[in-house]
Amino acid sequence: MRITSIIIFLCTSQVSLLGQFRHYDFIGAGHSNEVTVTTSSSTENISGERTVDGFDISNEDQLKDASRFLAHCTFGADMATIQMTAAMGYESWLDEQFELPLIPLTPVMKQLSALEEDENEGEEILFFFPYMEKAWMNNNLTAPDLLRHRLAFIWSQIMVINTNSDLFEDHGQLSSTFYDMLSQNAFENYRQLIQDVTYHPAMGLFLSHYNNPKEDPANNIHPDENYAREVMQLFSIGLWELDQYGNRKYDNNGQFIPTYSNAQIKEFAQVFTGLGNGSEDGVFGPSADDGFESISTLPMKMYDDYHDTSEKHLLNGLVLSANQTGDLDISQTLDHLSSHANTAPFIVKSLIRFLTTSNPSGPYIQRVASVFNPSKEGNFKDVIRAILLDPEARNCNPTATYTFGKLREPFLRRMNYLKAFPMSVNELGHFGTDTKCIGNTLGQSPLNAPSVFNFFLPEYSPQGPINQQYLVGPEFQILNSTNSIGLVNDVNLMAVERNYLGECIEGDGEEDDLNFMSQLDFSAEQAVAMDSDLLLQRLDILLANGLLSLDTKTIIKTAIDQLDDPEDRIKMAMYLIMISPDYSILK
Amino acid sequence: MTSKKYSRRSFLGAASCAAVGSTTFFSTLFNLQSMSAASLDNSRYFASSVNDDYRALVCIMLGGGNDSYNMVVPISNGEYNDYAETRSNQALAKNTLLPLSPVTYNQNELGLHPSMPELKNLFDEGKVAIINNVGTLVQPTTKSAYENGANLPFGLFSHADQDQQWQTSVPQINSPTGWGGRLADMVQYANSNQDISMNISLSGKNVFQLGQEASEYTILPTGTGSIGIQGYGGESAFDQIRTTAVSSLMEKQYQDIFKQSYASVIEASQNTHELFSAAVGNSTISTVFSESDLSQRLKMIARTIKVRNELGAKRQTFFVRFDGWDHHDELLNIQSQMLGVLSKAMSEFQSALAELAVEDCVTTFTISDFARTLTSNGNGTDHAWGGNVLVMGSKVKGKEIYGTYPSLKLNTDIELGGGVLIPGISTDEYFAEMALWYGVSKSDLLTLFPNIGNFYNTFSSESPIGFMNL
Repeated sequence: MRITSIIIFLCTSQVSLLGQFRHYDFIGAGHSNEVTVTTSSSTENISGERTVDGFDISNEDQLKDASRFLAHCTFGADMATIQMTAAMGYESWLDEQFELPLIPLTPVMKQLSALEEDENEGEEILFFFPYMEKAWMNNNLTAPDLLRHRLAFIWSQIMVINTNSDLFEDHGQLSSTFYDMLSQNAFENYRQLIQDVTYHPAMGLFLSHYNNPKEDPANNIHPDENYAREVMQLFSIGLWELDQYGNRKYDNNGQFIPTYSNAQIKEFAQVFTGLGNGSEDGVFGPSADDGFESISTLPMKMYDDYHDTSEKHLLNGLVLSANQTGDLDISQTLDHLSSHANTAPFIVKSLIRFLTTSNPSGPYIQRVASVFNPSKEGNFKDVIRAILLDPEARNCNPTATYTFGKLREPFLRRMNYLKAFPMSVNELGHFGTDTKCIGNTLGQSPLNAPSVFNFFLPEYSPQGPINQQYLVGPEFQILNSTNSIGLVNDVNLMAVERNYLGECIEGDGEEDDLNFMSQLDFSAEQAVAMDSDLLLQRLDILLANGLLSLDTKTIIKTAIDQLDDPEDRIKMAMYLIMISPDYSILK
Repeated sequence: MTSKKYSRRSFLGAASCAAVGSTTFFSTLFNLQSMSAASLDNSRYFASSVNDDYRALVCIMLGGGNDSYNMVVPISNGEYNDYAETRSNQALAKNTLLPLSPVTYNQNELGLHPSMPELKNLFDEGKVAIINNVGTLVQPTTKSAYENGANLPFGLFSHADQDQQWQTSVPQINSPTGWGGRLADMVQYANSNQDISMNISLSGKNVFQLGQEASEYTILPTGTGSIGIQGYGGESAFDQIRTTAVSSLMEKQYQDIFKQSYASVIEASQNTHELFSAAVGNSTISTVFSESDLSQRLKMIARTIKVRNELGAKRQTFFVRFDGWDHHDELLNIQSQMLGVLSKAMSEFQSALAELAVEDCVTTFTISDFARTLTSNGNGTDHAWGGNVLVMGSKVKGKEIYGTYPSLKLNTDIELGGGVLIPGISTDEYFAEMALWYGVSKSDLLTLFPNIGNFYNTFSSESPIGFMNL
């Protein structure tokens, strides 16, 4: 179902309504036929009548809005993508994105490993994590399925695995197949996602329900409780009962209501017993872990001899019958969690925080939660539409609403820059992708969260005015005194030094790596480099999603007006934009 | 960039509190030994005071939940047998344990994990003490009270919550401040240099060091610890233009609180860096530290302590996180390696403090989310509650064990199923003891630890646990 009903958000100050028909709309929705708008309500004082369609630079506001839309749901976009999206309308663009096929990481990772294997003849191929990082960057910089990639990155921060162990460093296929699974499910539904996450060996190895046997009372051995706890606390229902507005409920004594007790954790732990190596000749038990050969990326399979067959008392009175197969127990448990009243607001609030705003209103959460249907085919498409096209997200004067917006995730800042300009890719696929190392500077990189709690907690509220207003700013948790300077310097490295590899190039091949580095094409910027206003106008749309204030533009203009060299002017403008508060807070 | 003076805001805060007669927070403050009651200007007092007035607390967070009933293990026959029976395949062999000979503790014989010989030596030298079965508590509790859910910490057994509550010591709420932060709210203005937070983190943001006013200053274990904006203050024309523009962007006042928050962080980080790197400069330590991340971070703490006078610091706290203790899997192998790293790093740090002649001035202590279930899950253990902790320093009454080492049998009065133990000592008592050593007055303990009155009478002549030489 499309969101075409009575929703008002039009990036205009006046609308000519035709007859009695009120067509509520927003720029880019693709409903702009015959709608004539009179100028923009943004802070720029450009007046005159324009039509919504058409995307030359005179339709600056339309491009800004499209750029901002793309900032909400992609890793960034170049001008051609911004123009195309503005022309298509957001719903059409989403529809197109939903249809694009998945381009998985795993084959790319294997291909990159094999290329180097040729150079090291005779050595066993290990798919080390760095190949996974290269594949990740390769796909994210080149593949057309922009929306799916962004969703996969978000899910990797909700259903977190940590790859900082020898096992994951040596076997990149664990991470790549896990990530591909998240990508595959990005437009499916929650029930399928939680099924695939639960059975994926990377999750099993990380949260230790891989080779987790049933209780052995004679030896005081109980089932591992790790996955049982986190699947509830983090992947589905959360710790506290919520209403559909995402607010915690109170009991009669004014206390928050826990969703489960420790005793119930023990019941859930019994459910997740008996899973192990998914390959055909797999065996249950520690021996299955030994050696490289036995690491399977197939979904874990159930070894019923090791599954706890007792009755299991789950939440809200649900009892799983004794003597069921393990797969049936898990299936009913995941149905149970998927349909729990908390899951819609809990998951939806989390997605909204990653996509559009740290502090969504209750009604925004409720509107999206009402669309959430865990078992409906392709339901995530509806959820994504509902989040991105909601009036709260598409508010055309976003800078006027101080509660709306979020600190951009630091790794997104890096990607925004790399995605904004046409890139020439060298044949070996060298993108300079020691993402973990870059992550050490920024506090974030793909699949590198320090724990299952991700890089930052969803309810983190930084000291100062945000906390004083009882708001949260999750991403501020990693904006400490070193990461904050680190990200300014990372922008310097890219925009001023034009080194996209990051600070830490490993190995002996430093020169080689720099030579192989992909290049960005700044010819469009060079064409306007000597005209400060035109340059800033372009970069505002391209990098800052039209969010630069007049004050910020004045500061930057003053700086570049002192420079004569066109490249220096471009570098300075890009650097200052990408570190500016106006850019850093995505509204 | 122009700095915002910490001192000014804090000191005005203090003055205004006093003006309205409030007795909280900045009032009676400290019983710092030679502090003159007539001395209203504390910062002047501290600035002119002698070096040996320096004190620092170093908090080592063992993130993930250290299985501390395998760190400190009973050796006496009966108790070891209970341990072995309950822990099953996660029990350590008795003959591998390092037996401890405490001065007075005689409830049972205890041993340290075999991979901790360095800490065993420090224990023998009287510089390390062990405190048994410490945990998050709102008030003393019992099994039946637990089963009725009466006044318990929220989110028991959950990492995110217990990790935080060990830092805040206010386990009934999601406290925005930690006790190191509240401590800094009280004393930061006493440091002569107000531009560098007295709370320094080697592990980024943490709630322990967050107060109403105070926040952590994060440094790295490498270089001079801090980093600055490249090209800022540089001499080239490009850098001069950059410097002006960056300052303008970050010093501007933004109506949007998110933008303002971001700009403030960048501005403060650059300002502090300039001061901090100048002070730490090439400060070196001769003591050899291992390559482990924890050792390297503790080394940077030692280097920072070395330049305490240049930093104008009379009081500091340090926070360092050592993650990876969530041993649902591979407990025996991995915990053994990690305890080895911890033991070496703590011992190297104590040697460095001796090198700097500040052993009396620094107390180091461990915290962790929780201990782990006494029973096994096959090849690991799960989330539990009360656990054992280590405290190190010359002012610690070391070679001693405090609190009751609990029975490790199942189905006892303090055992909640699966080998989860109700703590015998609250985090409040543990931390309050160190706060008293740090200079907090007994009456101010109530400000620092809102629940302390449930465990300790602040009018008592005794200290909460007794492990510090006050």
